Amino acid sequence: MPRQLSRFTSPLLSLLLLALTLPSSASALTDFMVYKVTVKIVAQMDVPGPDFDTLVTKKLGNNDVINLALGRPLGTKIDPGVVLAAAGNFEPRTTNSPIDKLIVFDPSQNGAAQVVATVVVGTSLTYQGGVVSGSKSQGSGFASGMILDTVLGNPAENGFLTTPLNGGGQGSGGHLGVSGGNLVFPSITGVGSVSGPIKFNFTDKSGGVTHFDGIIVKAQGKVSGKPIGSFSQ
Amino acid sequence: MSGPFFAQLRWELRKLWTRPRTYLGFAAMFAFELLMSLLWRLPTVREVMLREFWKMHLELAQAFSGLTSAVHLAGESMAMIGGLFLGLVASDVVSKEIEDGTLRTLLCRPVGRGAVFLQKLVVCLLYAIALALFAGLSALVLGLVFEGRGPLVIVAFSESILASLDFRQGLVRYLFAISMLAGSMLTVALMGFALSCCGLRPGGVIVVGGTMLMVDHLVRIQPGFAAISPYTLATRLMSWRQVFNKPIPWPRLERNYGQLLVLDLCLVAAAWWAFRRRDLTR
Repeated sequence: MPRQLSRFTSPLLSLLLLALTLPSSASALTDFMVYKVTVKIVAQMDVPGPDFDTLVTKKLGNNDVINLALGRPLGTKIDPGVVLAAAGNFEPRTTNSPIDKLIVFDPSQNGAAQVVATVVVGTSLTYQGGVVSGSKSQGSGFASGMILDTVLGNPAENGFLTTPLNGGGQGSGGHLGVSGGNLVFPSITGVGSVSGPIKFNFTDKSGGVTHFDGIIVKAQGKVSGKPIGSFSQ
Repeated sequence: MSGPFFAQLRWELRKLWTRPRTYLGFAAMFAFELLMSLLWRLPTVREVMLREFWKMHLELAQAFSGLTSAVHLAGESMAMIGGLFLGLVASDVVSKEIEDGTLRTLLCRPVGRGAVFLQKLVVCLLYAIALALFAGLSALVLGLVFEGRGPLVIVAFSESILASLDFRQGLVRYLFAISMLAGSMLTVALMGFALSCCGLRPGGVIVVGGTMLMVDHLVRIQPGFAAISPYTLATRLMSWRQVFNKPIPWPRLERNYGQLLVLDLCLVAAAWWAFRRRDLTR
């Protein structure tokens, strides 16, 4: 038995020593919670004509935003489970470097790979709010952000181009806490509106590519419900 | 599959049964889980663990129940100890028999090399299943003894697990998760088996297999590798924890276990390729 033991103790010890030298786990990462989002955008673009101008109006819903973020033609069927989602870490603050973002989320992937595409990132956040009862927080604020260039698919034909955004909104939600020994994940509700320029390319049914460069006439976003996932990044 | 095949399989199982090293894995697993359970009882450890482990500024003392600790115990013991002992047994089953010359005497008999390969493969897989089930059940017993009943609470942001289940539901999910843990560990056993068939010496199987798993684990937990972490083997091996989510993310489980199955088939093919070509007369 001692001879048998000695045959594998040295490699075992080497591995244990290697394990002890491993750095500690991911402390520098930010943990995000993810909530499903519904957006409706109405944008208008002026197309100068020889005599009169034409105002082209384009409406974008969740599927359109997902398709453009993935660089695919509008109307392409969305993969099952893939949703437009808001990711944040619930730290109410006024900051010039918010981490909250609008993403295309695929829950069939693992960890950070669930973030298939990032559509909008925040660039500033001014927020006022706090705990209004034992079970609820509420607040409102305004923010600026940036629609990011589409990097997937074929952005020259279908995809967003970088444009700044401004918006405001209000929201409320429960607390992340323990009730009766059970961890309660917060349900939240939020409504916001956005304004600013918007640029994107899209391919119409005839195959022609339109370079849309217009103004957001109306844009609303809603977030509600319990978290649909999380990731660390 | 005939009577002689199963008779030989019974002998392979008997060989496994009679080797003292077979039981070291179970003993080491239990010792590790017992040690962790005792360490978690220390007030200073517990305070830091509840604060840092969950990364939430909440009083979760109640939520750290027997089921919760069992999930962590089973996961950590299989990740840290399980891989090493699966490698040890896999090396015993093939490479040690080659080294000792017993495989040569076995092949002198009128038996097909394919049948011998299959029997050894089945023995390895059965050991992996037994070790994983033991790890799960012993973790559950230790968890319940040290922490008592209570809800199962698992929060792992990086794995997208946000779970809080009452005891009954948590227990059902835990038993289901342990069966999936056994499925995950088949891949680890097959890695050891393939290395064993490839001509590595017994110690080499443990070191090479263990190093591969450790490097993969290192990539998974390093903050700098966060973008690569979802694609590591360890992420797939830890997929069994996804069953604690409500609802269970079946598409993710199908994807991860489908990929593990493909890897398993590749490892079996590689092992067979090496085993049938291997010069056993060296």
